[in-house]
Amino acid sequence: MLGLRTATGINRDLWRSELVQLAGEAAIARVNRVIAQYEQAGVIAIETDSSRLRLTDPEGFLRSNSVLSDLFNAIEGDES
Amino acid sequence: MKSAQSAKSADRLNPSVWHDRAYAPPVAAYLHIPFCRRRCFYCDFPISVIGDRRDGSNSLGVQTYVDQLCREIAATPNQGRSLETIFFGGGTPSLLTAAQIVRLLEMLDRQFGIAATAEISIELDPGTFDRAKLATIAAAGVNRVSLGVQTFDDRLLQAIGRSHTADEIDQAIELLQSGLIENFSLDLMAGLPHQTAEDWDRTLDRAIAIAPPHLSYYDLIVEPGTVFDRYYQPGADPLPSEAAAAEMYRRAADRLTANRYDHYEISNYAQPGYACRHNLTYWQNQTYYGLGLGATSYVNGQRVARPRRRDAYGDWLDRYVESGVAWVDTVEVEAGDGDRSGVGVGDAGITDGDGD
Repeated sequence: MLGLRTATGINRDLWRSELVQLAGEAAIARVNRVIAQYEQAGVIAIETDSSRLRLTDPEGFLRSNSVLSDLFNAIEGDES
Repeated sequence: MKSAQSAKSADRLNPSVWHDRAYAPPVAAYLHIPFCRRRCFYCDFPISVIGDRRDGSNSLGVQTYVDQLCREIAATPNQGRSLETIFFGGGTPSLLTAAQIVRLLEMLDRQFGIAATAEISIELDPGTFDRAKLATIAAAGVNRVSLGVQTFDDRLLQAIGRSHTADEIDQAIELLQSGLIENFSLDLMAGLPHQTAEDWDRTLDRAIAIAPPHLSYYDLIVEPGTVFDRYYQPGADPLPSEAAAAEMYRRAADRLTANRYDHYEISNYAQPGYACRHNLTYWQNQTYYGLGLGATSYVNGQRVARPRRRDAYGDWLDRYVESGVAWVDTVEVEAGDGDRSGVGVGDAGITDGDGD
């Protein structure tokens, strides 16, 4: 998930594959809810072909700590 | 028959790719050089303070540490690929003599091999190097410098406890731009005590005028146990408010991207082709060797944090060299231990004054 620190972000398919391995299918739904909230707020951007996920510049980068924290919580099933 | 593209896509969805990546032989090495003239008021990195009159030429502590680093390099199993990036971080690596830096590079080359196109970076502080040192390390392969400027304002430099002056920054940049090592980065800090929006704009003006190939920009964070932790509350006067610090971040993004810098990572900007290849290793979750006190390595699927105190690191090194057993069995493993973003070193407690 450190890839979210970069402007190119992360490959969504690869990340999903890893998440399933780490936390199971149930984690995907929780993570997607967090992503949708931040996308609506203009903090996360999803490329038009849905292949990459990235933080927006500068607002997403400014809120990176909150985003990463919420994503980790969602992965661990501690969604707030 | 599958096309190369579809085969590649299938590989990407194969979970074993993740396993393979964590076990890929490292092509990056980080070396921690834990010495500074003094401790900056915001710093909680593992360093030893050696004062203004000592450096690698006359400090027994530095000389002993270089010997220890060479022992660790020699004892580290070669995982099979030559190094494509090397990063000397600190601390203040420029307190080493040129001969000590060259010796470490020779050790790395002997143990792992260094690729002909390797990016070899070193953190230099203004006032700690001259033309002769720069020329010698450039001839030995160092081809990228990260210059610890923080601010161009003497008043602010004093307020954060830096050991250099604005004049020394000018001299350092003149040396770098004289053709010895033109691929350099300026490290800047915002959110400093007493720093105003106008101060920050002047910092950006100056940085843009210098036109370095790369810029790193960090917000001041008041870390536990630092001098600033004793005197300041985050967001309270004389530190900028949270909103003011955020505005400095936005201002940097606006102005630097308008001047052809790619904001390629939260804290980093580069002209086209000058992103730091070594730091991308961390952000892309690739494997790397970490060498020296407090350094974290990521090899064979394990993140391994070395002790952060000189005596403990020495004891660890003795055991590591003498045991001859597998890499991950010889060291303490701290699961989830964070890296200092971009430099591969842990950031918690070490005492000062044990340099010699």
